[in-house]
Amino acid sequence: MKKLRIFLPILAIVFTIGLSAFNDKTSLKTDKPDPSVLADKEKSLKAFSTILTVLKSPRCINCHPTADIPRQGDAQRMHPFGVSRGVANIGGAVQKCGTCHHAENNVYSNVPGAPHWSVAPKTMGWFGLPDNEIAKRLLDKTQNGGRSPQDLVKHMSSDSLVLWAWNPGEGRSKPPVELEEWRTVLKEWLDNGAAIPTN
Amino acid sequence: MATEKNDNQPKKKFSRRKFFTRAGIGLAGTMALLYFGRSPIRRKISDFTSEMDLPSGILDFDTDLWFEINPDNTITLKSPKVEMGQGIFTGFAMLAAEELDVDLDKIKVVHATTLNGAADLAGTGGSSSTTSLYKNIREVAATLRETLKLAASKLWNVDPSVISTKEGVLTAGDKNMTYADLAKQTTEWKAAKTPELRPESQFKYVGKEQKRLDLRDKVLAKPIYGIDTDLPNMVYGSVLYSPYIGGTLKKADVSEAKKAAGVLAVVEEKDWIGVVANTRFAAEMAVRKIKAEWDYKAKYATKDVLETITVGKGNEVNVQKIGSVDGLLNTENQGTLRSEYRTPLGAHAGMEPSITVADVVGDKATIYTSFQMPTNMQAAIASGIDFSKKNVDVRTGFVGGGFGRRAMKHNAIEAAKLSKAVGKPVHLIYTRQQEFQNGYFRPNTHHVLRGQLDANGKVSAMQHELATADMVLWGLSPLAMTVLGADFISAGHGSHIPYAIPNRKATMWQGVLPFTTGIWRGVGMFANTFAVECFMDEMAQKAGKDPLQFRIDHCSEDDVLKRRKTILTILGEKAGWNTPKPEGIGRGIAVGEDRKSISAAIAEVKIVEGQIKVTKVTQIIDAGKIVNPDGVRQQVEGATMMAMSAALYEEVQIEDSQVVPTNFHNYRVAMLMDTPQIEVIMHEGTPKPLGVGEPPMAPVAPAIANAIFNLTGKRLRSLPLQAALDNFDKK
Amino acid sequence: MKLNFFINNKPTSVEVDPDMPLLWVVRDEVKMKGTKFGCGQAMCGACSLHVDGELVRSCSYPAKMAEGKKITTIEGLSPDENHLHPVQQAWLDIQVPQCGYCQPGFMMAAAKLLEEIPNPTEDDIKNNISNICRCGTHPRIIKAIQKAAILKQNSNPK
Repeated sequence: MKKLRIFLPILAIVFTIGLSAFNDKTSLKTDKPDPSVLADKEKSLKAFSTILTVLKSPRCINCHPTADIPRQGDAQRMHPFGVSRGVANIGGAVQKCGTCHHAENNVYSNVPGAPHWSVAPKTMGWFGLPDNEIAKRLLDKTQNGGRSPQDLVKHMSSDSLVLWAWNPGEGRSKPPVELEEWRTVLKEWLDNGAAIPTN
Repeated sequence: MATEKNDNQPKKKFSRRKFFTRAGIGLAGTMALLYFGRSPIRRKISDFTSEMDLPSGILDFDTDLWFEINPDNTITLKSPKVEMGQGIFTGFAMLAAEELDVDLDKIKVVHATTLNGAADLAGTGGSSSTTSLYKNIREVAATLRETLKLAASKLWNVDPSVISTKEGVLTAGDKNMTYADLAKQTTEWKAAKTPELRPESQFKYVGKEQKRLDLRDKVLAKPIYGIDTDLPNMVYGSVLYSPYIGGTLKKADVSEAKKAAGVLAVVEEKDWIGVVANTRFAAEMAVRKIKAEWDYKAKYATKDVLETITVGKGNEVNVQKIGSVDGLLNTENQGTLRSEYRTPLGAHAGMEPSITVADVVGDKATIYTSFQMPTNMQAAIASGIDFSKKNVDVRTGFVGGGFGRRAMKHNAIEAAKLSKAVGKPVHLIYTRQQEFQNGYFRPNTHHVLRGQLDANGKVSAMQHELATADMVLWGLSPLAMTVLGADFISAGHGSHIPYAIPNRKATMWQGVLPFTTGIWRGVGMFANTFAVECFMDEMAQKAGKDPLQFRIDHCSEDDVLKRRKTILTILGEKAGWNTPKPEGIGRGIAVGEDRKSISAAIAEVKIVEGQIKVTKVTQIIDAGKIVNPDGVRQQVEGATMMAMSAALYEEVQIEDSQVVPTNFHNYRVAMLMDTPQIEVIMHEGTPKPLGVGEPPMAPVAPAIANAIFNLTGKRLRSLPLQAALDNFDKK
Repeated sequence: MKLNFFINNKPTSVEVDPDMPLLWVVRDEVKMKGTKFGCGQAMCGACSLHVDGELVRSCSYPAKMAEGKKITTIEGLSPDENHLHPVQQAWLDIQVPQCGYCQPGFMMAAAKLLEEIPNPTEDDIKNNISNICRCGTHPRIIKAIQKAAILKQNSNPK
């Protein structure tokens, strides 16, 4: 069963890569927008719409505030106690995120934790933004920490703080798709041109 | 006279005590009984809502119950009142030093225990410790001094009148001896008669600023609190209580808990299950493995609480009736105003949780705790584990925040039962969640006020109807209930209309809630002053008068009202009431009175992005004679902060028969970032020392609400004010 | 699990569950009672202490993370009782505590604050310490931290 779980996504990825390689070749043959390119974009957009549901889930967007205060919990209340991003996005000079949040969820207090617990930089703030704005910010190298789409996918599929979303601890919901599906969707989005909605 | 600690000193029998042996009576309940016990005629209810002097609850003033002379010539004062931050140890030491003829720093104050020291039947509360013992402590100290002289006179064979005392030394001619040396040599003591007290004009300490005696230990973080108790072989408990209001245990599977690492015992009782383990971590983790099902009544919520506590529902009790207010019922009359106010359930949220270390050995129980009413805990444990009271010694440490929370519900019986089960001392605390969910609350209130202006713009009639829940009468006998009628001592306290208005009426409606409500710092004063003083503001506005002058206009030359007028006048001048307000600032005033202690406050507020910010509070207190000025200042500052916190943010909600707050993230309290500038003015308007801890709680909420009206024109009539403003803006 | 760390510069070993909060290790195993329990969920700051110089709320800090680290508790803030840390001296001078229970946590936060911001304004203090006090000692805490800043500078001439 476990093997199958790993095998299926790999199969899906191999299949997707193969498909996109094939598409690339055919797209060179004509000046008109190739229907298959459009189909790719559609696939990418479809994947992105799934990605958005994850980005907008409390586990992700709570620490991507557009202003300075992160959110907490599935109810997305403002983080109390005067918590703010601070100059380096790791909280204040005295009380840092790490004053309370550590490298893993605390089994005793249920305070959430993961490596390098911090708030996303302001330019990567998404909270309250429309979908296309989130998408634009995500791809804009001047705002996303200079990341190419490949870098983004790598970050979103392997960063330990991002992955915490699938191990959030008791009383906190996970993102709407499973981790394996998340990685598949990211790949699909990237391999089909990393398209984002324009309006 | 004892020169060493003797935990089980023999004591004489006190016949008067039998009258007060009932277990489980709350602070003011006990006080009421004491009061009735003293009073030949039952006073009118209205008399004691406002004017009664709370008795100390202490009947024993033998010197050896209060003092011990130590070999290093220091004197130990065994305080029957508990130090919970109010500075009472320092105040008591100052009073004792006036008659003992020793320097203040030679007096070490400790807590009396229920078996070593004077028994306190009332507990610590009601802002009454200094007031009620101001004379007694000096008398015991003076008696001790004279008793020492008697012993020295026998030793030296001189007349006691030639012996003088200074800095802990007795002198007669060329003979001298320290108190300690005398105590070592004396085997038989003859108690002296209580002498005349020295006149107040000779006070060396009282009235002058003194550093608090307990602060060095507190700054050095010495282990002085109940929770710091650490005994040999001590193990740790953790208890599972019902998460539902009124919940009872239906069934539980404790098999996993029993198997958990470090667990020594699992004790199943009717309403709780306790685990004892080698460490607190092991005990708490094991409790989480218990699968329990609870029986509880149908879904109960805040709306049900509000419905129960509504004017017109429950028992009606007259608090005050002067003249006639019949004309007020017709709100069509010109000059008539009617407004309703509400205050919510509130939590104490003291920082030290409920704590008991129980050491039960054979038929004796020694209990270490942080508690405002050790005698009540003693009685509760005695009946809880079926021990004789004389075999239960309750020793309280310094209390990490009282506020009324350490007067009633505790975990001492649980700790004693767990200790009995394992034969070792057991350290047991409430978790913070339990502190919120299994404690008790400041009762919510509903107020209907009516007022009538005459042609001159003065109030001719006013009526206050208060609805609130049962508090301190909880646990009293039906007879006492009949005598007292309703809880006008604490929840109803401050419900009367204090101003010189010819026609006045106050009534209270007592509702019954399915959970415990109880005393909370200044409880009745806090809610009732909010309602009455906001309404006075509304009447002033209707009359087109300045709110400060309007209040002064309704004071008379009667004692307390005259003092009220004086402090309002001083406050207005010092806080710059008539000076121009800075841009964006609103200013409000209110005044409250608590057993003749009067506090008035002017608050300044601004609103930033919808958030109320209190920028400045100037508070004046006339608590009569001041013992330690900086102690009074601390209490007023503290009460200002706590009342502001309750006024702006604090609220306990109930949902699905559960208390919503579980920790400080969903029970917001004021923090450093909310701190306004606080100015304290002290005015000694009467020679007697009066209460200080609670009175300054009274005027803060209405002063802030009135300031918000002054700034925005929005009349917020419910607490907490931030939620009221949010709701006002939504409408 | 056996853990080794330094408490107030003293090498210390304990045998505890690796997930036991550092607070209970310090209080119940090492028997230093100055660090207080307040909320158990890192919300009130009563349990604040320093781990390798950083402010940590020890009720929510598993013991295993302290392995090999330097822990400073309130008992180790001053060199000795006759030479108080500027924060503790200022706390006495201004007569800050009432019940006193939350104060060790506040003092540990204040000591860290002065390391980061040697000359704090009132707003610096208000915005950087979110401990909870119920007695209402807040106005005096603000005054004491500013006094401590002066004491500290006077005791460390440049």
